[in-house]
Amino acid sequence: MAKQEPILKAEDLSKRYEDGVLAVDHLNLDVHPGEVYCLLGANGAGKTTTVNLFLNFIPPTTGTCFIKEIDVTKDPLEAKKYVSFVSENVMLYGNFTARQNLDFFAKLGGKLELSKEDYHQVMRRVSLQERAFEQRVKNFSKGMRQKLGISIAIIKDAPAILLDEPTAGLDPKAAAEFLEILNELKDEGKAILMSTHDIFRAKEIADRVGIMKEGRLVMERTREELQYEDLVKIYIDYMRAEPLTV
Amino acid sequence: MLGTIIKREMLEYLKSSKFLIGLSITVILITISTIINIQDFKLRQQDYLDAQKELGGDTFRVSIFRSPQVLSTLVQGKDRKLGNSLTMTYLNIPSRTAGYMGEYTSKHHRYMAGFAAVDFAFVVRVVLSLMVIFLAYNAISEEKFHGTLKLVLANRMPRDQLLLGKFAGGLIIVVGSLIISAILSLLIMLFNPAISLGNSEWIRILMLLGVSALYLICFYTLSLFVSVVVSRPAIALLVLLQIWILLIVIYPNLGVIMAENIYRLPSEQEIAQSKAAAFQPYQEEFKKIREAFIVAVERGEWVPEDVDLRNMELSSKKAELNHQVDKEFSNQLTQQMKLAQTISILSPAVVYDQVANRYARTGMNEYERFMNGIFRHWQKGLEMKELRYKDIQAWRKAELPEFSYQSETTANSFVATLLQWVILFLFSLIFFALAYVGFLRKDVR
Amino acid sequence: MKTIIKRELLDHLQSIQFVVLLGVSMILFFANGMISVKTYKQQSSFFNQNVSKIRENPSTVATTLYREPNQLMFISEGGDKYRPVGYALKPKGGFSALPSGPRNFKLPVIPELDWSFIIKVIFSLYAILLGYNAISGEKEQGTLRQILSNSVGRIRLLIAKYIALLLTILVPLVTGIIISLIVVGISIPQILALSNLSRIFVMLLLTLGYLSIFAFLSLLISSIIHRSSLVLLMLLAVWILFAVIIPNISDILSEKFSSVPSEFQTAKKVGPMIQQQVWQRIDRIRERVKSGEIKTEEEVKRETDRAFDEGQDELIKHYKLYDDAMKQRAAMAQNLSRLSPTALFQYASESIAQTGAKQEERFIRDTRNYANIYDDYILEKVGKLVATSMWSFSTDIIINGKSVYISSPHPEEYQGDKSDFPQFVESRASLADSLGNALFDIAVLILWNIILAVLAFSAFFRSDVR
Repeated sequence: MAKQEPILKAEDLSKRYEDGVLAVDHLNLDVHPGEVYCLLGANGAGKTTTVNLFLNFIPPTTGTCFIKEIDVTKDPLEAKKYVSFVSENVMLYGNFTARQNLDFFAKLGGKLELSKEDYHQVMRRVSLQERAFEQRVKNFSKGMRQKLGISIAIIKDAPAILLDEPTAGLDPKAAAEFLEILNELKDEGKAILMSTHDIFRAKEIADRVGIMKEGRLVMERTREELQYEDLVKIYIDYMRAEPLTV
Repeated sequence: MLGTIIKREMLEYLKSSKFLIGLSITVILITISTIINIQDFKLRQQDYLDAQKELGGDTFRVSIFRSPQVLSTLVQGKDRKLGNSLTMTYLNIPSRTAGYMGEYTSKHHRYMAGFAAVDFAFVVRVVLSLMVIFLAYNAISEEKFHGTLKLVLANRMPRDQLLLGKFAGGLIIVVGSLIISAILSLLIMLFNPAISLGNSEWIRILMLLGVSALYLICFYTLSLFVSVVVSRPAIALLVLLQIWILLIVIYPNLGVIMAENIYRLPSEQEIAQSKAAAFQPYQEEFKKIREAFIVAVERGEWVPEDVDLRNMELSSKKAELNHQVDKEFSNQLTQQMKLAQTISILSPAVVYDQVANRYARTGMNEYERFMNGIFRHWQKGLEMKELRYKDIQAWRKAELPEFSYQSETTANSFVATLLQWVILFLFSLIFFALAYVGFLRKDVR
Repeated sequence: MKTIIKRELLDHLQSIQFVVLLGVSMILFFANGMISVKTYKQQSSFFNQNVSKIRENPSTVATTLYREPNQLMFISEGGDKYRPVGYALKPKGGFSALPSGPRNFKLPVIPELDWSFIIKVIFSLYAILLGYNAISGEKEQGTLRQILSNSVGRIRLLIAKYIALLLTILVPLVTGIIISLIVVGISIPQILALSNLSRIFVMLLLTLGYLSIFAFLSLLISSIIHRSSLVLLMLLAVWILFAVIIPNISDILSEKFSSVPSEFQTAKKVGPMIQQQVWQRIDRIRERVKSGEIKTEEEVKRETDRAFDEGQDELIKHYKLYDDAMKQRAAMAQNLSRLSPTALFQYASESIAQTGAKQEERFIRDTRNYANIYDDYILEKVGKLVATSMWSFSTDIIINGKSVYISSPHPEEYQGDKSDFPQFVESRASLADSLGNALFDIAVLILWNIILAVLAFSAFFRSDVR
């Protein structure tokens, strides 16, 4: 793989909350175009905080997030041009149909001139059932909502995609379909950062895997390296280990 | 971008059942109340016209009927509660209008004491303000709960724009519902031949609409603010409702109760005493003149002209002095009312009510003007009477002019209510600023 | 069951709503006590002054019957401050209302801050605010499944929730009531007489019955709708309908459905009517004089007096028609408003406190009874009974070539000893009578309770616990 400039980059990133909890501890990571980076970790390891930091939902205590070399803290709006976001278990606007939701977010993403057919195409691509296109999202299942969530990300067509526990609560089939779409996006050259605690899915899709524990990135492995190591074993070892002294 | 947010916001409201229910209740109430209030106005207008024809007066007694205000169909105010007729002689200047059958308030009002008036102002003050709260209580919190807030902010969307968009979208809906209600009311009025609206009435209606919109915006920005600060929708609604009931039901009433208990009014005895004291310097002479007068009458003679004139002068002097005491008392009543208004100045409902009454000319201000007109009319009548002794020829030709009084001009009404506009505007501004700051600092996770 | 009630109670007692309600209740009931004492004292001194004035100068020309201030008006004032302070009574049953008590007419008309206002508006609202998430909240948190996974029946759970809710409301209610009673009792100890206390107890029961409606309503809607905020929205819509819209709209609706001529139109007919009634009769007397049927001056006077008297009857009837029509409209407005439990509660509480329209009716009945006693007294003392005319007439009739001055008769003042002047006492309904008056309202309140209870239980029984 040709080494390109990373699209998503965290430098010395830390976040200490008001209650004193150090959620992210001097984190460094980068995600390149056409790469899926999975952040693995238990609940409270700092994965979601990392994603929130990238989106400037919270200010970092130290360090910087870059999206396409734009400092997220300095120019968040410009940075957000280049990133799409799929959140965990999003409910969307219940009173609106799938297409209306898509339309709304597409416009927010700067895509102003899309036709109904464009929306349908995207929804077909994520294999949302045809009859659900014009139905209110209120009655959607989790899987359907998540598909709609990823189609919102697709339609924005940003070079980076942030996903926060996207497969949480999905049944195996829905999760598999979801990862299928992610693979396609990766092939299109998107830089994808996904936080998850689903180690099997991570292994399936990730080009690189980072394991977070207590805010620190304690291990990073590439796909190639994982061919020789058992990710599950590594993960469990790290989780068991006493507080690390690196 | 802003447009997208506004559009979605409006659609969201339009699709919600709470909006539909609120709007239908509003429409029903507005229709019923306008039709019935017009009917009531027609009845009173007919009374007024009949009275103009029939009451008239003679050289001794002048009866005057207060004309009903056409805008009482929108804002009843005190227009129909206060009595509408009075009779004056040179011996007496009435201090209040009477219901036709002698009581100070109309009989209708006595029987219906427990019920409040339902009119356009009521619908705005109570029903629409509540609808605004219902619409906006979860404007922000719901989005956070559903995760859409994160999704929206993951785009190139500054927070302040998002809030502005939401504000503008809701505003259009709120003002839109207000305009729908107003148009409905006005249509019903226009199709009624009994109602004729002049230019100044139209301007007054527009001003009324403006202040109604501002009043609703107060509640809208308040709701937005609470929705930003309180993250659980149910709790936000809970908080807003308690504020609403406080501002609309409890606080204004407490204001009145406090004013009643703080501001002491003189008793009837005290008033009678000051009346007697005021006339004291003339009392002796008056007694003598009365005696001379009665002696003449009893003897069946003509009353000597100088006695007759002096008797009239002193009697009217007494009436005038009494009137001054009454007027002083009336001012005290006004002071008490003002105190109540000042105490409850922080309630938008009270402020709104004042302005609406002023614009519809159904408040106390208009009534005071009418009563001042009555006094001037009485003075004119007295001048005429005196003319009889000075120049009998001129007196024969002279005619008492028809009663009229100067209503407040529209421009003056507006100027007089500027403070209230500023208060309502400040409320909106403060709540919006708080919502703004709160939202910028809000944790969207 | 006890465990559930205890947990529910603890939950409610820690909520903001409860704390706010407790505070608001204490303030309002305290204010209620203070204001009532002041008003009662004012009214009493006004009443005593006037009554002693009448006692000192009894008159056979006219007397005034004042309404005695009601000791229980702090429970439910019933709009009495807008009612006449009494009636002027004239011989032959002529009576007219005095103006209402002294109050600044420039101030807006506000409901009296009495118990029934505090309860019907504030407490009913807080019953909803405390109860709205009884079921839906537990569903949202998933605790409902936890509870029902134990051997707790659904009916028992709902009963426990209902009891806990009522007990929670009872705390600020009783606190407030005690505060109010202390404040009133210190200044006016006779208010704490047994007869009053028993009425207060009935009032408490009535309040529980009324608030229980809102408790059941909360449980019902909370079982049907899953999302707490929607439940609250629905409940508030119902509350607004009951407490604000129905009571207010019923007045103008009754205006639509009944036609009463305006006061002016009624009064306008008086002129022609009196012409017709009195002058025609006098003309007939003139004819009878001409025909020689009436011969003496005394006869003429007697006949004309009768003519004036009879002529007025028609007018009095005319005014009475207007009054009755107005009263009917008011009754209709009341009946329309009975669609709302809030209005039912209001009317029932008025009956218990012996205030409101019912008590005024009773007062007028008393006045009529007293009018007979008064007339008998005048007849006994003066020897004849002459009505005071609201309209006076005078004319001449020529009999036997002599002009006789005729004027409408005036009652005479008895100059002798009037120490046996009959006293007027306003009667009060006994507790049984009061309950009888409130029977319909109470019955409908109970009906509301039963219907809502059945609905709540069946809804909760059917609701899916997810």
